[in-house]
This record gives sequence, structure tokens and C-alpha cells, in this order.
Amino acid sequence: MEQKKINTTLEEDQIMVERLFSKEALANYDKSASSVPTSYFETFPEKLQQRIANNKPQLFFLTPIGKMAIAAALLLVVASTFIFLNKGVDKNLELSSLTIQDISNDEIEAYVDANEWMAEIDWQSEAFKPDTEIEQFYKDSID
Amino acid sequence: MQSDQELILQFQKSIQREQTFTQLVKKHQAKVYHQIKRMVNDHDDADDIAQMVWIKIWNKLDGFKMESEFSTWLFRIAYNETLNFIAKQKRQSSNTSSTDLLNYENTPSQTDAPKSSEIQIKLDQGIKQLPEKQQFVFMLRYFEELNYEKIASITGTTVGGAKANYHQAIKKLEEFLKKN
Repeated sequence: MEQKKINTTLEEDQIMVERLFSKEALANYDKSASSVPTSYFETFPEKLQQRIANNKPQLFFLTPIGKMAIAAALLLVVASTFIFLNKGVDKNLELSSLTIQDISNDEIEAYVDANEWMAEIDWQSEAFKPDTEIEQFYKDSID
Repeated sequence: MQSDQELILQFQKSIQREQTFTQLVKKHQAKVYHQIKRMVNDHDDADDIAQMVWIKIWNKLDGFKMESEFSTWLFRIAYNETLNFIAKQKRQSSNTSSTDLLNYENTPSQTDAPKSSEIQIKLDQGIKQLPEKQQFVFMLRYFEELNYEKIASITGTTVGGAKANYHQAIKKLEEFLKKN
């Protein structure tokens, strides 16, 4: 039964609709789709060609957004380079302007203690080397 | 008048592309426009969608292999563009207030044809309450008198699916009339 319904011809399909709505109503419905402003179809191809010409794909960097993006990226690179270099100069300046008076006694003592301890380790490690190396070590020290 | 195939070959060989394309547009523009307008009911919207469809055709015509009829391919693009437009419009209208939406839905029709009778209004309302795909299939079958093979190719479904869509549409229209 269902299969019979599905295998309908165009005429049968149209009759099914026309049983529900009058032919006139259906024709009127279609008339609204057919109504267009005066000379619409005469001017449409020309209007379309203009739109196609305007719609041609542009390279991204040539578009206004592309140009702005490139400008922003350049600005960022320049700014970050400037900041980075300036920070380096400041550090160097700080180090070169530092004198012994600026360092507290405690800091100096701590530094010396730490290095003495390190020197001791160096000494001990050398002491356990084979004799030949020790001799060479003494020679080097005397020189 | 040259056939679609001849015009497409000329276009693909870059022989007077603009003129060739214009001939294709002139041959098919009315049918495409009418089908779109049946779906969106507004001239400006239909004009805009029709232009988008033809721009797509312009951009893709070089790659068209003529495995299907040009008109089938054209209607398929029109179908996709129209459904995209309607979906976008629905998203936008969902942002409007519920009162606006109610008024929009209660509007009998946005078409500019005279409404002579009650049945005319019911037909408009009945068609509008159908899902877009069913509307499209219904109109291609009833008004454009296309066969189901072509409708199936346009809507990207099977022949059986297209038939089912048409008959479902009729059934829903019948139910709508009974309820109202």
C-alpha cells in the first residue's frame, strides 16, 4: 500500500496537493514567487558581473585588516626589541657603578667563607690524585 | 541558443568568459530566483541569495566536470545557500524578543501577492510550518515539476528519500488543514 503511494507520477502528486488546496490558491502562491521588480532580470547579469569583479579574492596582506595586522606585528617586534635592549643596558650600568662600599661586611664575609670552603674542597680533591699529578701540581704552584 | 554544455566548455577554455557566463545566467536566472523566493518570500533576500549562488557558480565552473546536468548542480548550490540563509536568519531571530518572534510567526505571509481567500492564507501558513527540506522538495516537485531523481541529486538524498519527503509534506499539510 505504502509502496503504491510512493510510486506516484507527477500528475498524481500534483492532484494530491490540489485535493487539499485549490489550484487557484496554489497558482497565487507561485505568482508571488514569480513577481519581481520591473526589469529585474534584465539588470541582474550586469549587477552580478560587478559583484563578481568586486568579490575577487584579495591577498590577505593587501586587505585593510591584513595591513593593520602587519603594522601591529612590526610595532610589537620593535617595541619588544627596544625593551629587551634597554633592560640589558640597565643591568650593565648597575654592575659597573657598584663599588666595594656598597656591599655590606656581612655579604663580603659570607662570600669569603663560601669560597674558602670551596678552595678547601679543591685542595682535598687534588691531594687524592696520584703522585705524579701532585708533583706537577706543586710545580705549577711554585711557578 | 547554445546548450549549457557548450557554454560551460567555452567558459572553461576562457573564451569570452564574462559573455559566456552572462548567457548561462540569462538562461537559468528566473528559475533559480523563483525557487529561492518561494523559500524566503522576500525579494531582497532572494536577490542576495541568488547573487551568492551565481558567484559560487562563477568560482567553481572551471572545475565542473559535467557529470551531472548543470541545472541540477545550480539548484543544489541554490538549495544549500537558501538553507544556510534560513538557518542564519533563525539564529538571529532567536536573539529577538519572544514578542517579536510571536508576531513574526503569526504573520500570515510575507509574500507580496494578493491574498484572495482563507485557503490562500492557510496554504501559506501550511507551507511555512514544514521543515525547510520538505518545503524545498515540495516546491521542486509541485511547481518546478522535477522528477525525483533530480530532486534527490539537488537535496543530496536518495530517490526514496525525496519521495518520502514529498509525501510527508503533503501529509503534514493535510494535518495542518484539519487542525486549523
